[in-house]
Amino acid sequence: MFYTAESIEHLAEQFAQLPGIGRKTAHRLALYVLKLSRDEVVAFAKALVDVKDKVRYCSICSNITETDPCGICSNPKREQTSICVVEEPNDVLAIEKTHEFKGLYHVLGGALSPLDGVGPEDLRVKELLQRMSDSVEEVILAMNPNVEGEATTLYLSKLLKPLTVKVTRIARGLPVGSDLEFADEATLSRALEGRITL
Amino acid sequence: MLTKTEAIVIKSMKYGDTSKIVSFYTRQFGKLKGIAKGARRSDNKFGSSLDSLSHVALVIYKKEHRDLHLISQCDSIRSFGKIHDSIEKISVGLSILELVDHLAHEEEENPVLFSLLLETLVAVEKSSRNYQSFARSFQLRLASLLGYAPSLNVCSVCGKSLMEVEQSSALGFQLLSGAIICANCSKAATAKRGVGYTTLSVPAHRILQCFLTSGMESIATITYSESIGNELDETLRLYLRYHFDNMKDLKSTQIFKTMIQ
Repeated sequence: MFYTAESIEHLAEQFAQLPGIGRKTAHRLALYVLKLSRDEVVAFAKALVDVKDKVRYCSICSNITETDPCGICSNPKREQTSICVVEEPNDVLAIEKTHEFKGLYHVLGGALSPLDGVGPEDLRVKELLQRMSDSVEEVILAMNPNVEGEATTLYLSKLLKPLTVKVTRIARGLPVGSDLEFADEATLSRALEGRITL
Repeated sequence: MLTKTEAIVIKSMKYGDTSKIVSFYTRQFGKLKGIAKGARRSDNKFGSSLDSLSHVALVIYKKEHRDLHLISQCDSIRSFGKIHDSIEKISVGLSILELVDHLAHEEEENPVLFSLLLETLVAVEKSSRNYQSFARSFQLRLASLLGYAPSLNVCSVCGKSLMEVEQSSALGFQLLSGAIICANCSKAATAKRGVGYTTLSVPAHRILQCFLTSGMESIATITYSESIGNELDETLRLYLRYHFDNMKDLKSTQIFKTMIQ
């Protein structure tokens, strides 16, 4: 039995499918949609459909894009000699925000997680190896600093090193703006290991 | 109730936008799960302590009849950084954790198992060779701790000590009772073979004895061929599957096999 209108219940059910949205929030969102103008609702619905219709994976780097190849891969100004390997498309956004890296990316689609049954064949490892041409001089491994990330880094470096390409990893250690006294033992020891000469 | 206990982090999964659900094996309560709110924020108070393989001091709000407890504090005691530096060591460490995750029951206290787990991880971190021996030894010791210790010293048919009589050919191994049948009796007892019976080569039997009785520091010094290693893996796999209903093939072992080759 529907306590409000059937269409409101139906919309709430759809919202409730989203991660982190419970029944109550879904109802609140559905009622909010009711208050929007028709144009706003159409724009909202169109944005949802566009995401599904237009967004795809770049055939080169596997990042999400609307054009294939993506804006980064097709940009001739980007350095073609270095590839930064990341776990997820969000990591590309994070690194791009720094404006420090001018090379290309490769999105693996996750990290090796043996406890969850995620192995090399579940990631875009073969595609990365296929990109290793003579023009690539450096591969930067930018995985998350946890066991899964470490396992992925060690595995990829084992595969890439015989290809005579320079394999590097991003530094691990203290976050900028943090306090040394509150850093845990693992973070501090990694920071000491990665110290640089001034 | 706010409680403090030592724990080893088994694994963690993302929950919501900023939190994590973490599985621990604790000294005081056995295996338990907790939620670490805000653990994925860059300024979170947990740091790297919720990473798999970490040995931590855990403070939790523990409530009766709950499956998920609130993690108040988690401080790293030992992060096993040297394990993280080698793919072979990570492989052994994670397969040990997966085994504990499969076989240990929720909130069933077993401080001896906790000590074994910790001792094994310390030995893996310190060792520079034969890492797989630690995983094999751990499987055997874990089965023993959970009540399924195999009887490796005496023939279960004639009662003779297997240490005294040189065995000429493969021994028999009864998976159900964990009993060994010496080479002579094994030849005679062919009629008793059937479900739950397997053979064990003489060197593999010796190594299993060492795995069960040797100190952790000497496990790495036991050397054997790859074929014996494969035989040990298969025997231990059959033995664990025979005794534990919830025992599945370890995903981590299969994945690392393809990665290390």
